[in-house]
Amino acid sequence: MRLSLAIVAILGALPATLPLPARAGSPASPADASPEPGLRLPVRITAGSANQFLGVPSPDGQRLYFASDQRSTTEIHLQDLDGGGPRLLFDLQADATWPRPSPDGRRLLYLSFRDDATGDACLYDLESGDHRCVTGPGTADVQAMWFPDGRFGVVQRDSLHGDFRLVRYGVDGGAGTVVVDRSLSTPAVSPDGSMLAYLPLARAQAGVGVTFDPRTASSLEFQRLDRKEPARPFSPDLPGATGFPAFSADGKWLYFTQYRNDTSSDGSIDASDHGVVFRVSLDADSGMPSTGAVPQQLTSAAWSCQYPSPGRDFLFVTCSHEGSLDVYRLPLDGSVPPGWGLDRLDARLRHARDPWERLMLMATALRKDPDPASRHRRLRSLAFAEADAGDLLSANHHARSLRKAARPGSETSEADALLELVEHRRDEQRFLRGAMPEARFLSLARSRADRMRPLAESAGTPVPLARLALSEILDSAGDEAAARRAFDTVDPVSLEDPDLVRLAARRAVDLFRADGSRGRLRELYASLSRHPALEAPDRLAFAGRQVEDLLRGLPAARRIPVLEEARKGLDPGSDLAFRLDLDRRLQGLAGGDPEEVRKAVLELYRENKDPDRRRVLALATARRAAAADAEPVTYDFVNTWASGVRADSTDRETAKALYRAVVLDRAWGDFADGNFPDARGRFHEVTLQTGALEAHEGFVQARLAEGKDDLDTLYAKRFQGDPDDPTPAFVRAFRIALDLPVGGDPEKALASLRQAEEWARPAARARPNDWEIHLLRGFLAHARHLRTGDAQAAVTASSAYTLALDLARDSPRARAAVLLESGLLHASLGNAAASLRLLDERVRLPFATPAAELSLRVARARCLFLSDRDAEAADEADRALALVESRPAMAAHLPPALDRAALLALVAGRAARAADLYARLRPHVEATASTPVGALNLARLDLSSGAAMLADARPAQAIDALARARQYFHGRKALPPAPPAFPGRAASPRLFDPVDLEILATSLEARALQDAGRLQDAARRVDEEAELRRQRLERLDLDEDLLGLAEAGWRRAELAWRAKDPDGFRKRAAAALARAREYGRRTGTPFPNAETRVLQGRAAAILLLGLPAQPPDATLGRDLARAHAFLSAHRTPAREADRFRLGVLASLWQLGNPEGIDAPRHAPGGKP
Amino acid sequence: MIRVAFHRFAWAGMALALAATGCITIPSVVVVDRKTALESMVAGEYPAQEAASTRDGMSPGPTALSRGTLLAVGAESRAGFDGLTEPWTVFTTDADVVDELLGQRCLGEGRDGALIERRDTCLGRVDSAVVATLLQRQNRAREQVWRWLGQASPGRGEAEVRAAWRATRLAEVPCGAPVQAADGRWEGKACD
Repeated sequence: MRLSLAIVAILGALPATLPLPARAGSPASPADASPEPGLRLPVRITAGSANQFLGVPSPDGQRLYFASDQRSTTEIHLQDLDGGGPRLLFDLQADATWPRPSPDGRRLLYLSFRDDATGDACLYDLESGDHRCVTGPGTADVQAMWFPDGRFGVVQRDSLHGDFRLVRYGVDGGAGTVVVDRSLSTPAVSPDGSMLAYLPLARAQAGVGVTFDPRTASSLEFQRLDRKEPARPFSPDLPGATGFPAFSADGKWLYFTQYRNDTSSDGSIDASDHGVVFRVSLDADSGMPSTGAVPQQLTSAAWSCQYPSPGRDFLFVTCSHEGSLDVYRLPLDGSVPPGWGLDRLDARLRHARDPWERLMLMATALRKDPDPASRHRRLRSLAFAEADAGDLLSANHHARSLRKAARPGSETSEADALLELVEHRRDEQRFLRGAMPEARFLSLARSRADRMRPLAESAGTPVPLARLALSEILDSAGDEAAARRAFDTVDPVSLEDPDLVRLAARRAVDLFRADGSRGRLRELYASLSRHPALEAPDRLAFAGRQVEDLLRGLPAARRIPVLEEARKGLDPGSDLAFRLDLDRRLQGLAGGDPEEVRKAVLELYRENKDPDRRRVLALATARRAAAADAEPVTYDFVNTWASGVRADSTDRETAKALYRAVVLDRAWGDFADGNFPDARGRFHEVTLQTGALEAHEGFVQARLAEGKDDLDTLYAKRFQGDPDDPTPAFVRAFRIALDLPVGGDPEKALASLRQAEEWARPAARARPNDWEIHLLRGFLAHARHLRTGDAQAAVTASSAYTLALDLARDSPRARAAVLLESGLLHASLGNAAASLRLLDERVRLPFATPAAELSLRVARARCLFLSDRDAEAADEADRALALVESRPAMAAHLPPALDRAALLALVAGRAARAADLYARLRPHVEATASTPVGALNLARLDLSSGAAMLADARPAQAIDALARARQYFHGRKALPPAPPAFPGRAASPRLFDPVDLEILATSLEARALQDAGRLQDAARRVDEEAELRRQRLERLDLDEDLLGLAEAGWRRAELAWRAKDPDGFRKRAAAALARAREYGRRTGTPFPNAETRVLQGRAAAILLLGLPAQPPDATLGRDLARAHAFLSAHRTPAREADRFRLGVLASLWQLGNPEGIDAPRHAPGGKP
Repeated sequence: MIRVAFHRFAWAGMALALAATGCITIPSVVVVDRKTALESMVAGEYPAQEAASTRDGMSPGPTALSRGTLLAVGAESRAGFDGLTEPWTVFTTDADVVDELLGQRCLGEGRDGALIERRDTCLGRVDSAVVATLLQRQNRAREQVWRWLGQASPGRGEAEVRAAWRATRLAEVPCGAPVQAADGRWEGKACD
């Protein structure tokens, strides 16, 4: 209660009792954002377990064509960009790739590898579905593109080692015309058809074709198509290699991929390395990149993106990110909002944590800065930051630019020193990756150090960068004393340049952490925490490092005294004093009263109005309180800070995300505890502060749980001033989804689904990076699939769930929902392995309801069963059953749970348990036996429980049950229709008919009779089974019946043997063998089980039981040997015992038959 | 004896017999695996309960789980909390990364003064290639420092220098980090 009041004081409202107000918030509300408060992350469009790549939009921007290797071969898929799932465009049963829709949208150009392993350029008519290949086996076609006039170009070569060229074809075929007669790659044509851009290729070796050993040019080439002019090169002022040019739809921009580093460590920079997408403006007259135009970075180097394909509204790229290769989309002007000016960029830079984001922002600011002096400073900072981040090729490139612009003297020396440092780090990378021997590395480092020494002084002016670089190089080379001496010539405190201060500090950390000079390090941190050249975040960070170093590894009891000692004598207003005060207060979280800590830290918060300090205080407190499990303190400080962050602050994104995380956490806790008013209030607050859709979903559910269904009115009122906001439509779709009935009128359910899908669409367009949208879309498509069996709906659901899972990496509640639903979807489709991957991850999270847990356990048990993990399946079914039995409210699920647990126990070899479970199931089944399906269930219960009792060595009891089952199926024309899985869905056809089940029941009954010693009855049943099979064989001519007859024949032979009828045994064994061999011949199966079984039985009877050999047994020895040889040559674990027995019998046969294995066996006599 | 062998051979495992028999009696050209066949033949049909069970597992929104239940299974309940509250740093040095990996029990301080990878105790995911490069660089740096310290302290043997350095080093190793004792056992550094 006390904390609640504190929150009230902070937020000015009581969450639990908040009515839903109009959308307007306070000025401090993060909801009052400027239109683009953050960077625009690429939006993932495709999803799946495989790779999706080469995405190209249709000319109207409504659909995406892309290649995918989902089915092992590369195939072309199509996806509606308005929220649909992917579908295979056509099935060639071969590789097809490089999709390119024609300018009129009627055809798709692609490369087919069906009839030509080297590739044909083909056209697919999107209306008629006709395919036509324009090129043939005479050429190898590797890339294709459209010209705006409706003709298309193909990059091809004639022979294995031939050069590529670009050839133009008409859609009606005919001979092509050579457009560019030189080796090239990825040609692109401008929208008016006047200019072609491509990447030139050359042979690296004269005799080897470009396909196998190409050397890519360092620049793109532009070739005019409307007049005869030599091609002109274009090299962007960027490090690395350039590729994949593409013109924008309006012809004003050229997009391309830049490979800036050898990320693949293969010694060259090419398309195997991480790509970054850029664009550069084109001059209207020349059609070439404008003179002096600086390329604009569109994607962060943290994402490896390539294949830019600018559409009408969006740029599509293929990115490798977080382990998946997929097609993403971005605004045409990239990740950094074009409206961000230098102030905004600089403010964002001050807090950016991701080094690659920092580099992108720095490059953007450099491009935008009009002031030459400021640009120079930015270029220098960029080069330093690139060197720091390990983006060494870029650092080298920018250091060279600095060198070119440097004035003689210390500026030149510094640029040279930076270049040497960067090159030294590249050498070190090579050495550590094993690409350079240590001796060579040391030699290079020493030479470099020799060159650095003169640079350290430039005409009497010290060059601190050279001294720091020298220290680093000497350190790497193992000259520790010299490295320290070089460092000691630099006084970090007296440096005025922040980049140098940071570099010096870093050097100090490397040296002093290595040799344990903690005193010197702390002294330095303390100085840097008040360094005038540094900005507040840097100073606070050094203060934080100081505290961290003071406390690292220290026993808990010594921490407070150490902090107090360090605090003595400090300026109370200093950043270091603030940081020490904060940590001194936070020490109370270790065993103290959290409320006291909260008060003490809040006091410090009030005393410090500076936003940088407040950020540090809030984040450190939240983190430490969370680690100490002082949840109310975390909650309080996140609330406090978030509500105080200005709307235009660069902290706003972090504040919003943290507020959302912490308050939603509390709200779901309230909801789970049944405290709906408080939950609703907190959800409502989050909707106001962040607009999070998850909060709306929670609010809706809490409100409904309170018994109040006034949501339509509330939302209409709240959003009445903002008709374009998709939130109310999303909420409406969510509500429909919540209320979808399991049963009831199927048409009504489908109408509701259609309505919900329609409502969800605007939000899907507006907020594509919100997992809530994809979860809802997945749910709706999944529900559609369940109700209609529509396979495309299942694909859409799977794709949406994958996207939701990708976006909800950090949200366990979202993951819990998506993992379960996606797992259930795959289970229902029979994708047991895919389902288990998802359900196994889901089962590690808790469940909100027993019903949800039951659904998982039932599906998981079935998937384990289908994956031949029988014991685990039986265990999981037992857990499902235990869950049902522990919850009276789940009594309706008891019969299926018993049925499933019994079946899986039987399969797992737990016959007694299965029989017991079937016995418990019987009264439930008998109670419903008056309906056709109920009667069938009873017959199946007889069948399966009979099997269980038989396996449990209770044949007498099994006989009755199996006889009842046999009688139920006997003479029955058809089984009752299978009930549909969902009301309204078409029933699945039954896989088996009554005869199948009668054969099974008869066969099992025969075994039970045999086990019970009723051999004559058993023989009668075996004959009945054989007769049923014979009839069916005549009717359907199934191979399987031949095999069944062979097996039945052998069982009959065995019964004859037991009835002391050797002639009958011979006769029936011979018949069984003939059937088995007939089956083997028809199916091409050498030595099927049935055959080896008869061979072994006959041989054992002769060799071990005294059955006299007769002429028909003349070949038995040879057959045994051949069967043994075959199984030895084709060994499988399942037939290893067979192989062993055959080997023993063949040897015995030979031992008893000195005339040779092929000779007729003369039995020693004896009787059976 | 032979009868027993036959019996086992012919009738081994009722479930397998069931499945094998069921698998071969499909009247049309429909290929199903034997488990599906077995299920289709002998499992009871409960469509209403099965539909309800599937529906119970589905929700258009997140699962309402309290922080307590999530923490009980070791899951952080607040989306992205760790990343959001991570302190802003001016730079990240090798020493910072080593501290983090020691804290995650992915590295340990070996008894000879070298850093050692500890895959079996590692909490969280690490890029093994990055760790390998880091270890190589750090251990190489340590060797160089020991050599230098030895040169700066004539008369002290290499082992003595190393031991002295290690004692200093262990004082600043994060609490809980794996530290190898002289007998080779690994223990978490105690700070309480």
